[in-house]
Amino acid sequence: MKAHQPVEQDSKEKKRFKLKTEGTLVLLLLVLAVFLTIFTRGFLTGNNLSNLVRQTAINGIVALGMTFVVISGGIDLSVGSVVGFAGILVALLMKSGVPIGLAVLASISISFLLGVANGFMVFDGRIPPFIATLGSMSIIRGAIMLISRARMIAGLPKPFLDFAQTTYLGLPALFVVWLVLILFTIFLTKKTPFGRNVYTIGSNLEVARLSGINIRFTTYMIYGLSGLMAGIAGILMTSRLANGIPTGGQGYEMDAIASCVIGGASLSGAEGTILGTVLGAVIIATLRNGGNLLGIDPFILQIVNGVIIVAAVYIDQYRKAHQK
Amino acid sequence: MRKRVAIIVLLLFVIALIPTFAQTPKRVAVIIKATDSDFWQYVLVGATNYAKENPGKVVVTTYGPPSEADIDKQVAILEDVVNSKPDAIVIASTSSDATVPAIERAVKLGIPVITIDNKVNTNAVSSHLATNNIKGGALAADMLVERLKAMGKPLSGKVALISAMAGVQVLTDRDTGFLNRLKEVAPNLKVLPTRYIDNDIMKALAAAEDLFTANPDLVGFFADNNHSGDGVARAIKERNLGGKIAAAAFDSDPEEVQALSDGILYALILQDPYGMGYKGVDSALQALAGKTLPAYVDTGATAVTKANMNEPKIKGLLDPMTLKK
Repeated sequence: MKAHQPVEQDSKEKKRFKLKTEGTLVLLLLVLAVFLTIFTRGFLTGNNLSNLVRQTAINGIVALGMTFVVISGGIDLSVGSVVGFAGILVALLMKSGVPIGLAVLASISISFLLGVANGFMVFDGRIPPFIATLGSMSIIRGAIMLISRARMIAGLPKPFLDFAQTTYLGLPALFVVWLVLILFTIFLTKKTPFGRNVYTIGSNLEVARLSGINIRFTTYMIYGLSGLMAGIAGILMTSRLANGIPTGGQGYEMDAIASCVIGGASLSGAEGTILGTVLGAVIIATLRNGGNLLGIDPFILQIVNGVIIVAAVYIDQYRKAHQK
Repeated sequence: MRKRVAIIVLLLFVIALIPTFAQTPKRVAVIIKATDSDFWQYVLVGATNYAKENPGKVVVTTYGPPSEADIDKQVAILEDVVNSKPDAIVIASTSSDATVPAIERAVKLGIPVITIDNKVNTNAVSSHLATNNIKGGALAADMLVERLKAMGKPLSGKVALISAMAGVQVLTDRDTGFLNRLKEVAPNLKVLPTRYIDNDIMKALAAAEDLFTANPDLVGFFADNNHSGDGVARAIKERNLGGKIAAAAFDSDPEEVQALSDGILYALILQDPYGMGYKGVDSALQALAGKTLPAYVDTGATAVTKANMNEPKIKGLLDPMTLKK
C-alpha cells in the first residue's frame, strides 16, 4: 500500500487512521484509570499522579527519540546504554569540578554524537540498524564500566540533585522537561521538512533518494536525536537518584520500543506518531503503577504487559486490514 | 656412628628445605559472577589482597562476565580457565548447574575447586564458602522489629518487601528468612506481596512510592539487595519520612551508606565479600596442600546501624575498597 499510492493521498488516509489509533489508546487509558480509581485508594490523588508522571518521564523521553528511528524503519538498541553513559559521564564531570551547566551540556552533546555514530554505521557502513546498535549497546556499556570502574558515583552537587525534586507551577520538573520535549518532537514531525523526510525514508528509501532528500544527513539526525533524548533521560535519572549508576538504563530500549509499538508505530517504518508513543509510555507506566497499588502478583503483571503489547499491535493490524 | 647420624640429620634438613626453595607460587584463578557490581569487585579485592600478602606463595588471576545474566559466558570463561590448567580455581558460579560439567572436569584433572557465594550441585568441590542468607534475612527482620520498638510503635501494620529479582536463590533465601522470622517475632505485622524491580533503582523507587501511596499504614521496609535498598531510601527521603519508617536493606553502596548515616535506613545487613575472596584463595591453597576442608563455611552476616558504622572493622565491611592493598 505504501509504495503504490501517491504520497499526498497516503498521508491523508493515514491521518484518519492515526486519530483512531490514538483514540483507542486514550480509551484504554481511561478504562485503566477508572478501574484503578475504583479499586485502589490512592490512584486519583495529586500525589500519585505526580509520581506517575515522574516515573514515566525518563522512559517517556527515551521513547520520543526512538519514535523517529522506528518511523524511519530502523531500531536503536543502544539507548539504554546511552542513558547509563550520560548519567555516569555527567556525574564524573561534576565530581572532577566541571560546572554543572557545562557537564550537562557536554554529556548531552556526547550522547548526540553517539547517536550520530549509529547513523554513520547504518548509512555509510550499511550495517543493519539492529546489528549496528546491538554493537554500540555493548560498546557503550563497556565504556561505562571502564570509566566508572563499575562503581556508583556519589557526592554530586546539591543544585544538580535538587533539580529532579523541584516543581514548576506545581508540575514536577521531570514532567516539565518531558512536556517540552514532546512539544519539540511533535513540532519536528509535523512542521519541518526533516519530520516529513523521516516518514518518506521509512516508507520507501528509493523514493526518498529520487525526491532528493539528503538521506545521509537525515539518518545522522534521526539516530542523533535518539542519542540526544537518551542522554537527557540519563542526566535526569542521575539527578533523581542522586548517584551515577553504572547499570542505569539497562533494558530501557525495550520499554522505549514497546511504547512506540503500543502507540501505533510499525517496525517496518513510515508509521507512528509522537502522541501515540507518549500514550504508549503512559499506559506501560500506569500498568506498573496500578500493579503496585493493587499489590497484583508481579508475574501476572509481567504477563499482562506482554499481552498489551501484542494486543495493541493486533488491533492495529486488524483495523488496517478492514480499512482497505 | 655419630657421623652417620649427623649426615642423616643434614640430609633430612636438606630434604625438608627442598620444597621451600623449589616452590613456585601456586596459580589460583578466581572467577566472579559479574564485573558490573561493587559486591564482586570487593571479592576480587579480598582475593588479590591475599596474593599481595603472600608473595611467592600464590598468584591470583581474576575473571568474570560483564553481568550476572551472562550464565553462558561464565561457563565459557570457566572452560577456558580449566584449559589453561591453573593450580586451583575459586568460583562464584551464577548458575547452580550450568558450571557442573566444567567443575567436575577440573577436579578430574587434579585442579581443586572452591565455590563461593552460590552452591553448585556437585560433590566434587573441596569447600563452599558463603553467607547464610536465610540467617541474614532473619537478622533484617530482627533489626526492623528492634527499630519499631525503639520508635515506640506497636508491632502492627504493614511491611513492604522489595526484591531485586525473582528466581535468584540467594534473594529467595533472604526473603524467606525475613518472612519466617518476622512471623515469629511480630505476627501482627502484615507483609505486602513482594515487588520485584529487575535490579533497577528507578523501578525500586517507583515501587516504594506506590506502596506508600496505597498503604498509609506502612511501618517498615525490607529491601533484599543494594539497588532495591537505594530505591527505598530515595523514596523515604523524598517523602521526608526518615526516622518515621523502619527500613532495613542488604549490602552496601555509597547511597545506602549515606542513607544509613542520615537515619533514613535503620540497618544494613552486610555479607563479607572481601572475606569470601580472601578465604576462598586461602582454602584453595589448603586444598592444594592436601588438607581436608569443611564442606561449608558460613562467612557470616553483620547488622550495621548508625551506632556502629564508624568502627574500623565495620568500615572495612561497608567499603572493602578501603582495605585494598
